[in-house]
Amino acid sequence: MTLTPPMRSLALLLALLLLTACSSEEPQHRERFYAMGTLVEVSILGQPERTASEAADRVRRLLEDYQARWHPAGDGELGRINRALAAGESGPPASDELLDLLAEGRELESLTGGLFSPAIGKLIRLWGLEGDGSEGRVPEETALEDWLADRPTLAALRQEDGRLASDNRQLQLNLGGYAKGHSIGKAIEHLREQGISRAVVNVGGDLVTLGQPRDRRWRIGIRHPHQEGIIASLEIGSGTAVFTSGDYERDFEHEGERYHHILDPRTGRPARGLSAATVVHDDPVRADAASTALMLAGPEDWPATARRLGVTRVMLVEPDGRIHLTDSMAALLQVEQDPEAGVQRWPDP
Amino acid sequence: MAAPRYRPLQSDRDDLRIATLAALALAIHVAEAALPSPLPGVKPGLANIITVTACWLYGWRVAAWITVLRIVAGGILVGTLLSPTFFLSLAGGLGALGGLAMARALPGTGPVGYSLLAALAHMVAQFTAAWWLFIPHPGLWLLLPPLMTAAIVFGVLNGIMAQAMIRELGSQPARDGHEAT
Amino acid sequence: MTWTDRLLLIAAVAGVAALYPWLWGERGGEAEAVRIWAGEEEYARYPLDQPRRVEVPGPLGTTVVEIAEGGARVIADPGPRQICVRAGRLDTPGDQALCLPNRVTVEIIGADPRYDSIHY
Repeated sequence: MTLTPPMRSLALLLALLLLTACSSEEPQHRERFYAMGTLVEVSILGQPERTASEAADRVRRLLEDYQARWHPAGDGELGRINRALAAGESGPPASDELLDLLAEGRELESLTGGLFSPAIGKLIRLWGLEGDGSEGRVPEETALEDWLADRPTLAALRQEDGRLASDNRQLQLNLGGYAKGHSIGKAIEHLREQGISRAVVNVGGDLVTLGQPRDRRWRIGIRHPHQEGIIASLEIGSGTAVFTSGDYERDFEHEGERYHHILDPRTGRPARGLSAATVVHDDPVRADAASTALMLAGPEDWPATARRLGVTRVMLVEPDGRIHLTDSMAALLQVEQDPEAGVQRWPDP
Repeated sequence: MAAPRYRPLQSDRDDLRIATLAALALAIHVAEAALPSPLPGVKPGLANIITVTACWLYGWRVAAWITVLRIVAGGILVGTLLSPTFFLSLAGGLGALGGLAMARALPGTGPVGYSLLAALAHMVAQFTAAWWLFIPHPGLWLLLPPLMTAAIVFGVLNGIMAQAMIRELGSQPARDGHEAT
Repeated sequence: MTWTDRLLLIAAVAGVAALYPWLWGERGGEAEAVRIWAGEEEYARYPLDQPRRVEVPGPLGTTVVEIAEGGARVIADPGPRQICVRAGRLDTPGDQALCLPNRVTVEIIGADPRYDSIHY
């Protein structure tokens, strides 16, 4: 049967349909594994399965390595340094990477007026929040007061020949506020060095992109753990980080009250006022630190903190569900579920 | 021995009209089928000018006959009888007739309205037939907006041409399928 | 063109104009199946057209996933915070619910996912 003209056009129609329906998507390879105490998802576009799989494996080892090295009480370099600091001694030589990260931490601490501080490891330990939060507890009032009296900051950390020391015995390092940003940033760099050009590394929900799909931007769905469904969808390009700090990540209940892991160095207690703070920024470390700092700044003072940190794409969620969006964030984001408490727009800080 | 009784076939006025107009519509349809089109379904549908004119002047029944005759005869002539395109054509034709019925039911519709409703219904019916019978693929839906846009454009254009034809043939609309004047 | 004709034309144009964002919008494809992960391995994959209840074993116990009416939801999980249960119904390709303590993940897959990654 030859293709008569009408059959030919029908065949052409089918071909066109198949083309449009395929939407020229590249093969996407997704690897999932558990690391850094959470679910990690590495999505790599346009690579053969073997390459993608090996690349994801290397990311896994990189993240596990950071987890071991920088656990505040483990056997890695940070654990050893912390134990030395607690004993009032000089720690073993710290790696250049750690020293650089601490230098960045000093800058962040200064920009946020101390809201963000990697020096509050002791406080975190008092609340039992060093691990996954399953051992959370309300500390003794006297222990809290002692800590607040000597409230340590990175300014009290001395560096001599690459060794860290401090006169403040309450000073313990905990990099939780920005180490994830640093690790994911390194993982992305690593992927790029391996020749991967389009990928997303998602660690427990916080993610950083590398490149972008051929004819569109990345489409990210934002879920809020308290709510059913996707609350907003985000479109971001290459080299962009999305980080959220929330009151639901490591939380516990005690005598009817809920406590979470974002501790305010000024009060020694969990931050109040905001349920979540989401920051989009090109620098993952900045995004990670800023999300923590904004949670601490609260619904009144966050614009000033955001401005000092140079972040403009911000979304905040209050406990009643009310959403706050900066103009730059609103340009990327589509609210999928309008909250009863409403959405408030803010000019960029 | 009684002579066998034959009943002579009497063509009434409507039969003549149907025959003439169906032949005209058929000629236009075949000619149009020879023209290339970017996609099947996106055709000006010039034969519909005849259908709309006939419906306006002589009633829905006449238009229905013309449509069916045109589709079947067209299928035979173009060589697509009982092929997928034929069924799509049939669906489209039936849809157009539905649209014409709607147009007649609405007060104050002119030939352009007739043509517009016929074209829209034609496209919807054809699309539905394509979806059900041949291509239940989600990608098909992507074609619907441009197809419907083409239906509006050609519906209006054909309606304007039908209006001109009606002016030529006698402008009073039909009542109950009988000739006016 | 009569007045009725004009009205019909306006209605037609408005209606067809609405078709564009509706059908051409970035809706992603249809949800085709649900993929359930236990730990780092795929545990099961099911189409969404048949109602089903799936029990997924994990280190803390059993997570129960219910498939019905073109979607899936986690109806029971041994985790302390019940986040994946509160996630509600999943029916968009690319969406997921995570029961991290029990190491169970439920994701919706389809030919053209709406989301490349889920941020939470």
